[in-house]
This record gives sequence, structure tokens and C-alpha cells, in this order.
Amino acid sequence: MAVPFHYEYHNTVFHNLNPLAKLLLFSWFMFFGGLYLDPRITVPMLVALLAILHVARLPLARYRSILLVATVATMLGRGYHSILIADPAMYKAYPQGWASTLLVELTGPDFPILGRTAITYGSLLYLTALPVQLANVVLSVAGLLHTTSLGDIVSVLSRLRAPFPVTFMSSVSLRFVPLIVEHIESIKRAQSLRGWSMETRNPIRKVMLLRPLLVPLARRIVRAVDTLTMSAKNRAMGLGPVTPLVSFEFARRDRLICALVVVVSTLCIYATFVWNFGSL
Amino acid sequence: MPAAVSARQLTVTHLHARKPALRELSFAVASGSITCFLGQVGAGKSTLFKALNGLIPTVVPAKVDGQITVAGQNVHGKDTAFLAQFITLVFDDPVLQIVSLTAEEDVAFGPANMNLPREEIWSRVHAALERVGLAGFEKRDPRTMSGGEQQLLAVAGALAMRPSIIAFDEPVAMLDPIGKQRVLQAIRELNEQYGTTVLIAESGTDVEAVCEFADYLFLMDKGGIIAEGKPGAVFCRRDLIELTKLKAPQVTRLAYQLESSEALRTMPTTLGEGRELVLGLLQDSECSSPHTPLRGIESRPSAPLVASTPRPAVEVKNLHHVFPTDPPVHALRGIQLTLEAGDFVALLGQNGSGKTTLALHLVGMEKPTNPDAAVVIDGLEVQSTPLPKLVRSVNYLFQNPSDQLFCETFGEEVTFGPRALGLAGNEAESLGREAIRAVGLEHLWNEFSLGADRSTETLLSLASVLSMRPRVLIADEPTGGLDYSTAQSVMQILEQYNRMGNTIIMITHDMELAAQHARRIVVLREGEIWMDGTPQDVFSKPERLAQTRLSPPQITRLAQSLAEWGFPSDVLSVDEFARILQTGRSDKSGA
Repeated sequence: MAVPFHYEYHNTVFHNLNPLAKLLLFSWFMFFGGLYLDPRITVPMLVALLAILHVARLPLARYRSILLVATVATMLGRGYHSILIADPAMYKAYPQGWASTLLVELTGPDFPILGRTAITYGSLLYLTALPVQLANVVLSVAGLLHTTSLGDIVSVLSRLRAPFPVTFMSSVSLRFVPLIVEHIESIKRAQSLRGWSMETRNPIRKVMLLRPLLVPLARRIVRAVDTLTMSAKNRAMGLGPVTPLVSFEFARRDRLICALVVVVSTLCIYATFVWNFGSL
Repeated sequence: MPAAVSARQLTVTHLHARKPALRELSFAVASGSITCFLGQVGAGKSTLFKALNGLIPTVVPAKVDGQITVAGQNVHGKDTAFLAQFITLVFDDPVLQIVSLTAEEDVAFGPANMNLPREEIWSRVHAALERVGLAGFEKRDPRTMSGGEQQLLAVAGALAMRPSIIAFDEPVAMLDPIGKQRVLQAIRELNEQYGTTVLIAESGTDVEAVCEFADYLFLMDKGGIIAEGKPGAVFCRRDLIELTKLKAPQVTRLAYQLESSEALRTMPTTLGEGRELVLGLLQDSECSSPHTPLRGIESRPSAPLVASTPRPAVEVKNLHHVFPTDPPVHALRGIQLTLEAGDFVALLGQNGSGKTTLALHLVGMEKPTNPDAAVVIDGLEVQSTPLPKLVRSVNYLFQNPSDQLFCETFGEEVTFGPRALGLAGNEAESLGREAIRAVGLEHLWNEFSLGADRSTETLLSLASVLSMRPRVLIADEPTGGLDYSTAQSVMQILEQYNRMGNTIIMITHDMELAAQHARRIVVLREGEIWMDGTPQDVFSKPERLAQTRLSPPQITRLAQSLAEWGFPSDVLSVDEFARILQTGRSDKSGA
């Protein structure tokens, strides 16, 4: 079964990059794509990321439902901020007058605690920015994991002198994602055939109905954690220093990418502080 | 020969356990040998192996008394990571011991942890993959490999660490017959070429395959060793084999049935030894000519046929299924299959042949990828029938029983299905009680069910499916991971349910089980039906069967190896073989 956030070997330029270069590249998208709100910057970033992922042969269809669920959750969790930014002083990059133009006023400026709440051009921009920001973060993580094998990630962490528990936990968690997805799928099948269904409008009952899924899953996860821990120890994990499996020699393109990321990051940081780059 | 592994007065008691899992165990394993620890599930084999490499008590908390020496190292106080340089354990479930996302990185994991130079690591990785026949799989995602290939990968991972001892815990439990041969062959080569000491834990399901390779055997029961010696000598202790309720190889069971068995000092355990025994008997009976067929064969009963019914239980037409992976996997290719109501069908095939995918289509859990496919169960078109209605006609006993179980008590568990289907409390309880009685667990109705052992879990999940009274029941490896006596109980329950007019479809790798219980066998190969017929038809064609990595049961292979003596090629059971042998011998002696 195809699972998201999983390494797949393809002979692409991004798969063949030095893992440190990949880590820098995708971390740049992850950090600045997750930090900036201005769609004039985040949308081109997303387009560039999608182009990279296309070349890296990432199956985007696998992430459609994840993005949808995450977007809905973000809108529910953070979407209400959009009506709280009616004050013109909150806008630093966009013309304040235009951004705070009232389209629908919900509460007046004298409303207790909240003050003015309204739908403005700025709040619409904010609502547009959220899913783009989310897509940048999710897809850059997906891109990193799709192009970088677990061994490479562990090697990079070892190289960066991450402590053993961090390396071990990263290794086990990355191995775990596809395993858990498979477990959920097989448990769902088994319970559906016993007449189990999640179809109810009552949210409390919906949570209760998760029990047939969660109890077997918890048991499976406990067993998987135990066995994976034993397997790793049994294969000398924790004995001492680990040999990195890949050479950290940088090819020309790796050096170019690293230099580009460093230069662009420096510019971004400067622009963020000096010109409010990325803000609304 | 010096001992590679030894234990003196070893007692292990797990945290919170009332009784020790191992009791005052003392033994020595010769260096360079292949030694099997044979015992039922719960006999203490896995505990012993985990104690040998220090997982007990460093990872699994337990109280350990006594002394263990491994490759000259006193294990006491040593960490598993350190001991891994001398002894490596390969677990029974290949999926959970693979720690990396490509085959080569998984094999490299151990040597990298040992901080070997990178060139040395990759040289070992390539040598190990080649040794187990996985050269070319370097970049493969282990999840896309078959169960046999994954187990070979785990063996390669152990091999690359070059320990002097490798311990295998049920190494071939999840594999098809040829896959078992391949893994065991790799173990044998490892032993012969590197002098590696090999320890194997076996609960009886694959005893025939393991006996072909083991030099020495320890028989374990309730945490102790009750017999040891060469396999043939241990199986001479029939009283102990019966006490431990273990399954003996079919040729051994044949020898037990012979009048002269008590005079034997060593029992046959391999095909070759079985053949020698039978040839000796035939020659003793003055059956000197192998070309004269044995008489009495013509009177063998043929398999009972299921009469064609007006409405078949299962009808599958032109079923294709393609998994949208990269590259796409064509799992089923135009399956056409009709099963009569009341039939008992075994679905066989190598790992990855499409058995489970086909079975999941029958219960509507997978959808055909071609629009003109049709799957009809008990008159219902599977794709258009709502699941609550469909599950009364067809249901599925999953290989892993714990996927189905979540309720607190046995009673709640068996009534969950009927209640979920909307039946009233009394009716659901009545169905639940009937089902739990059928599996012999009615005394546990109000007991706490979570945490039950594997045998009880399997019986409970079977009861929870039976309580919905499906007219077609699909059982996926129903005896997997069970000891022989529980496996027999499960099969008796399925037979009883089949006698009530219900159809059973059993997916299995156990050829003896298929020969013993099925009336029809369907063999899949690369998503197509490769063979379809009675067990006699299918097992009498070993060459065709071998093309799908299967082989007939040991007793059938014995008969086939004695074809020149007139043994038919479709003998399915030990009883049948013994009867033919006795009849043939008395006829020849009489003549």
C-alpha cells in the first residue's frame, strides 16, 4: 500500500543530492514557507516547491487528503484570527488603508475585549495565506522524506553530533509512519467486517466509536515499539560511534545549493527585519 | 568440540510473572552446529534466545539466575549492543525487525553501528545480499518485498555483522514452502561456509523443514529441557512428543504407525530417512522388484465431491486488480472462479501471488480496477451491496486476531458483531453464546479478554466472526502462530461449520492442512489461477506446483519418491500411506 511521508528511491537529481544539501534546501522551504504570510511570496515559493517535487517524482495525490484535513483543522484553529485584524496598524507590507477596508463589520471598535472585528481585504488575504503556508510546510517535509533515506537522515544527525536518543527516536519514528498507516488500514478492515462504522452525527458518539480502532492499534504499536527497540539493540545500536553510510563529500551542485540557500536565507532574514518582508 | 553457547542452572522470571519462564536450564551447544530448540508456544524458547543475547534483562525486564556463556563471554551484566558482535537474533516477524527504508541500508545498519570503515560495510552488505540471493534488491523498499524476501533480508542483516552465533526465532513461520527452503538453505550455507553456530527455535509447524537441517535437538516443555539428542533419537521418545502435544514430521508419524516402530533406535525425520525406512520394510517383505505395483491401491476412496448447487456461493468473473504503485503492480489478472455452496476450498500460492487480494475482493474490502469485473457472493453483487448486509453472507477471519479484538470481556466481544448489525440484545447474546460454545470458551464469558494468549485470541476472534453466521467464511492462515493442538481445534471448528452447509475458503501455506481438510484447492500464481482441482489432482503434479514455489506435503513427496514401487502420486495422509504400505506388504508376502 502506498503511504505518505515515505522514502522512495528514484534516480532523480534531488535523490542524488548530498543529504545535508537536501536538508538545507527543504528546511528553507519549511522554515520560510511556514513563517511568511504574504501570498505574493508564499505562492511563488509553493510553485517552486511543486516544481522540485515534480522533478523528484513525489506522488502528490497521496497528500491530497492530508492537506485537506490539515487545512480544515488550521482554518478551525486559526481562521478566527482573520476577523481580529481589522486595525490598520497591523499591516506592515500592504497599504494599510486598503488592507483594513471594511467589507463586513461584525463588532464595533468599542466592543469589550475584542474591539472591532470585521471581514476586510486583509482578513481575506490572511485566510488565503493559511493553506498556502500549510502546503509549504507539509510538502517540504514530504519532499525531504521522499528523497532522503532513513540511513541518510540518521547519518546527517550523527554528523551534526545529535545525541544518540535523538538519532534513535528519529530513526524509529520515520520507520513507524508507514507501519502505522498499514496497521490502521488492516484494523479498519477487520472492524468494518464486524459491522463497525463511524457514521453518526453525534460528536461524542463518534469519539466513542473510535474505540474498536484505537484499542487494537495501541496494542499493535506497543508490540511494534518493543520489537523495533529489540531489533535495533540486537543489531548493535548504541554500541558507540556510528559510521555514516554516505560520504559527506560535496559535489559542485551540492555546494551550489548550499551556498544559494545560505545567501537567500541571509537575504530573507535581513528583509524580514528591515522591510517586514513576508508580513501582511 | 568447544561449546559456543552454554547455560548452567538458568532460571528466568519475567517481571510480575508468578512462575519462571525458564527453570534451572543447563545445556551446551557445540560450536559450528545447527541446533534446534523444539517446544510448544510458551515453552520458553523465545525467552531463552532473548536471555542469550542480553535482551533479557536489559530491554525486557526479568530476574535472571544462573550463568550463560556465549562465545566465551559471560553474558551477565553485558549490553545487547555489545553482545551483538558475537550473537545476533533473527525474529519471527520480518516486518518489525527491518529498521531502514531500503534493503542495502537495512543490511548496513548493524555494521555501521559497529563503527566499521565504510568500504568494509558496503563490501559486507553486497556479500550478504548475494549470499541470501537478494543481489539486485539493494535499492528496494523492504515493504515491497515478499515475506520470504523480507526474512532473507533479515538473515542478510544478521550475516553482515559476522557474528559467530546466529539465533533464529521461528525463522520460516510466515513463508511459503519454497521460501522456507530458501531461508533454511541460506542458513545451512552460512553454517558450512563460515562455521557459524546456528540456533533455531521451532514450535512444530515447520518441524519437517527444520529437521532436514538440524544436527541436534533440544525438546523443551514448560521452561525446561526434557530431551536432547539427534532429531531421530529425540523423536524416539514418543511419550514426550505426545506429552508436549507437538507435531512430529509426517514420516515420523508414519513410523509410529508401523508395528516394528518400537524396535527402531532412531526415528526417521527427513524425507530421505523416511524413504530408507519404507524401502527396508518393502525389501524385508521380499518385495524385491520395485517395478511390480503394490496391490490394494485401486480401492482407495476418492475425495468426496460437492454437488453443484443452483446458486453458487461465490462467483468471480474477469477480476483484475492493479495497485497504483510506482511501477504499478498487477495483483489479479482476469480471475474466473465459481465455488459451490458447502465447499471447503484451500487457496494456495506463494507470498505475493494475490491470495489475500482476491479474498479481500470477496468481502468488498478491495474494488476491482476493471469496470467489467463481477464478484457475487451468495447471490449478492459485492460492490453494490451495503457492508452490513454483505457481512451476514461473507466474513473474514484475519491472520492477526488482535486486529479484531478490543472489548473488555469475552461476552462483549462475541456479541459486538451481531449488535453492530442491529440485532436486539437477547438475539445477539444468543448468537454470541452459541458461537463461544462452538469454540469451547463459554466458561470465559464474563472474563477479561484483553491480554489473552495467542491461542485464546484466535479462538475468540473465530467465535466473534461465527456469531454473525456468515454463509461464506474466509479464514486467512487460521492456524498461523498456533501450537499443534490449538491448530487442530481450530480446524475441527471450521470443519463443523462447513458440515452445517457453509462454505469455507482457507488461505494457507500449510500444505498438510490443505491436504487434510480441503475438498478443492485453488492455486494462484502471479495473480492468475494456476491450478484448480481436488487435493489429489493438485498434489500429484509436483513439477507444476513447484513453479509457484509450493510443494506437496512430506508424505505425498515420500509416496512420489517411491513411485517405482507402485505408490500412487496422490497420497494425502499418513494413515493412507500406512494403509497402502501394510496392504502392499501383506499382499506381496502372501504372494
